[in-house]
Amino acid sequence: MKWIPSELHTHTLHSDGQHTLDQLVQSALALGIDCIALTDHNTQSGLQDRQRVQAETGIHIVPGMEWTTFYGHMLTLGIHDYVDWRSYGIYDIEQGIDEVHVQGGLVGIAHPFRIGSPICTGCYWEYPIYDWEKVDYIEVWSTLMPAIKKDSQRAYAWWTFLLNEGHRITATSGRDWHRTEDHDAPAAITYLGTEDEDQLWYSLDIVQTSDTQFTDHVELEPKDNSVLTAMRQGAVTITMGPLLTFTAHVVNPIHDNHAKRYSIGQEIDCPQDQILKLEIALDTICRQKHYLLVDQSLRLVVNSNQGILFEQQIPVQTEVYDCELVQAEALSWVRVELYGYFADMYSMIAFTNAIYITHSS
Amino acid sequence: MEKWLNVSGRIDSSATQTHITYTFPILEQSSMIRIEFNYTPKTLTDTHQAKEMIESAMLKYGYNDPQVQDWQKYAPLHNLITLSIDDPQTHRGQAHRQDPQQTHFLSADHASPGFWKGFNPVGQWKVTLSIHSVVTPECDYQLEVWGN
Repeated sequence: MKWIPSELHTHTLHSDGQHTLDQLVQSALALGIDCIALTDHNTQSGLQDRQRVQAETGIHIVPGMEWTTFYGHMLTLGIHDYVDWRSYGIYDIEQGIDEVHVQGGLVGIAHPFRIGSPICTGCYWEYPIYDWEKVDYIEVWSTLMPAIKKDSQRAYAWWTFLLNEGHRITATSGRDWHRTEDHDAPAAITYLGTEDEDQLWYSLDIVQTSDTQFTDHVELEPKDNSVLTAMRQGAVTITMGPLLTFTAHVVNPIHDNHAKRYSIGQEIDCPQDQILKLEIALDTICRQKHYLLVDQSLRLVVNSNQGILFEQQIPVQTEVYDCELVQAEALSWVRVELYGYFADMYSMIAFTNAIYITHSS
Repeated sequence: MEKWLNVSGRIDSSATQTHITYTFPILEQSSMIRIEFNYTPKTLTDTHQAKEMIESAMLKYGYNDPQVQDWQKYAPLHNLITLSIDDPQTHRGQAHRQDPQQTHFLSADHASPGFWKGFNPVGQWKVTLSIHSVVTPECDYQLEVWGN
């Protein structure tokens, strides 16, 4: 699995950002980010520069938009054509989501607990969702140093509640990047996992894209598929610094088809009375020069629908940790979290998306 | 350039979370369309009203933690109207930003930020004002469309 450091929520002068796409991309590259989603408020016109900027810098830019509506902000990714937010009311959001899905795009709820109107228009998510299958992701960490922000903590708890209800929703972070200043607090990174598409991500050059003859049409590229697939599958892990990932497999499987290692976002079948083993990897090398994590004892936690299952104090170094879950029958999901001191605050430093568990008899 | 549309209006808080759309004909080919839009006032200066509205929002959205009751953190409150354009064939974009005075251009080779460049077809055009928020007792807006 290759993990692509990404930033999925950005703005430019095409809405209310204070930088051009070129400036945004230079700032992203300086932070070791390989992929951004351009999600200007209610417009995709910033994508007119996408092909040139990608060719000049090598970064990948996913076409996106932030529906900045009266009742919530919804991120869309991988859309060919503009979908009109203006025609939908507070009870209609799922129709809008359907229109995005028809084009093969994804939708995510942005900063669901940020204070709303009239302080920040539509920033608090007020749309009722009747069918959670339609929501592809939730931006549970928002802005700089998200883990210490109350709105992000509320979003994280909400996501956990939804997982407990049986919904499989991908969690992301989003800087909501409007400007870059010299002494910005640290931002989180969303790592997107690509497996089968490794070759696709690296080998294909930028293909011919948006034709300016078509004013609001955006062609997708092969790399977009890697991103959308990772998001759809939940192959996503979020961090302020070190890369935190894990796999799960059944110990002593009766059938060979249970021996496989499953990764973040996947579903594993753990038959009754079988032991589930997690292999948790902390990678302190990738993007090492882009963050500062002082030497300390970190707290590694395995969380689940049954609460915390395992915890261990670990040093700041690249290592793999094993964790055996003997009473796995009641588990429907597990994820891994990392806590410690970061930027002089004690908080969550990283978390993974879930591996989902079923139990055949 | 010729002025093809000149409209204005006065709205109050009842217009919050509504859209006002002006549909108008453009009957001649135009290499450049210019749109001038402004609204005033931008800011609610009455601190008593601002405090009341902010505290009400803090309560509504669960920001009423008794230890963090600093309503001034969210002051001042602003009116927000955003403008979007649809030509007879396609959506041309939106300008989602706080500026209360805006000028936009549309031509085949260039468009101002938020909009797609492209030729300007003859037919029924629409300019939509999305009223995100009116926090002042009244808000006056003016919209002009120019072409050549």
